Amino acid sequence: MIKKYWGLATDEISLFKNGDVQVGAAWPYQTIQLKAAGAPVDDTIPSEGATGWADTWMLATKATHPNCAYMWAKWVSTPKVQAMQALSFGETPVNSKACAEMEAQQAGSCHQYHADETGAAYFDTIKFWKTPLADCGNGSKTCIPYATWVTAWTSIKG
Amino acid sequence: MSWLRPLVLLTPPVGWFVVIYLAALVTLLITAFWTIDPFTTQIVQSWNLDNFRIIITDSTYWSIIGRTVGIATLVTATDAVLAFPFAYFMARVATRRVQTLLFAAVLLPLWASYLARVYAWILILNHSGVLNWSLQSIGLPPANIGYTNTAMWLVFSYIWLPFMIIPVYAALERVPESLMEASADLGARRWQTLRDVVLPLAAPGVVAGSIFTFSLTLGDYITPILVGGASSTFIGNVVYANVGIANNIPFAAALSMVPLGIMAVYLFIAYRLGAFEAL
Repeated sequence: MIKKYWGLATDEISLFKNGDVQVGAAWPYQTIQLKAAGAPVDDTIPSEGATGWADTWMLATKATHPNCAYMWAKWVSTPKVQAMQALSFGETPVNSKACAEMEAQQAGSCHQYHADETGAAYFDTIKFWKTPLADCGNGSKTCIPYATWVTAWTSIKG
Repeated sequence: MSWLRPLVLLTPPVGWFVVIYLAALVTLLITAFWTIDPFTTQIVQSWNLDNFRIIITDSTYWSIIGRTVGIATLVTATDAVLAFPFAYFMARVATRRVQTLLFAAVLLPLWASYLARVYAWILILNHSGVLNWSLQSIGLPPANIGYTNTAMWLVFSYIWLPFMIIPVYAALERVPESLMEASADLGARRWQTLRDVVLPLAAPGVVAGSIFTFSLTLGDYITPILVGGASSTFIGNVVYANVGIANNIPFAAALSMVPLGIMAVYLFIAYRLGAFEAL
């Protein structure tokens, strides 16, 4: 009874809006967009927790202009830019001072994105993604590598 | 020294063909016999047949290959049926002016990007899209075609139709009017002329067009992602999934050999049916 393995968030949003699906795995972004559009949806995290990831900026070791890169990283961490990113792209900002900016631009958004003081408890329920490698990292080398996961996933999707 | 000039003129295109095209295919074929190290995910150049063994024994890949070939065949048949009347009208019935307009109409969608055209169909086949709106306004129940294999068939048939119309048009245009008049003089009815004179002469054009529609559908991976549903995986999707973080390039290369082999057989059959006689 699976309708679609969504790859674009907009696919899932339009499927829910049209009533084509009743249940789905989603990001907070979809819930916020659907609620703003008036769809009768809500989300929850099971007792086992949820998975998540953090998008990061990286600086190459041999970057030709590291100072420029640091200035960029500094600007991107300011509360205003963090709030803009959160409201337009849909990711919880990492700078807690962004909360005030978010409230100024869109009332209630700070709590919606778990960027306020409830965020710390929310963060603890998230199990962050790791690239599966055969090396488990604790001395054992019998973990399942990514390529095997891809094969298994292909079999499941059919 | 008359052989020197053709040799010099041919060297750049033949050289391009050998170095870039054939060498790339040979590299792909060689990679298919290698594996990746499970700890470092780097390619290990140890020769084995594991990748091919997995493809042959795992039924998942058989169903994916079967689905891809099946929809490619369906799309080819659909486009052949749709293109023939249209190309016949363009080649033999339309006036010069109408012919030019029809040509423009057939080729104009190709100027819009592939993605734009697929997205347009998503909007049409959506639950609240144009198709359901039309059905409901005449009292019929809504169709649930969005995100299914049926939707993929429709979208592929639409996207590749110009590639079928042009070769069929070219073949039909070359049928001499005198042959059709002779057929009528000998007492054949219109349908008989169509069946016994026009169709056999147009067949190479249909086969040439089918090479496009079949091979393009066989290798596609974008439309299944956009328009497909839960079991719409194509060969290209599996290749795409294995390249990237998984870095299982040897397996992706081995799987790529399957559509290559299928197309080699298809081209051989097309050659025997005379599709390349006009070249």
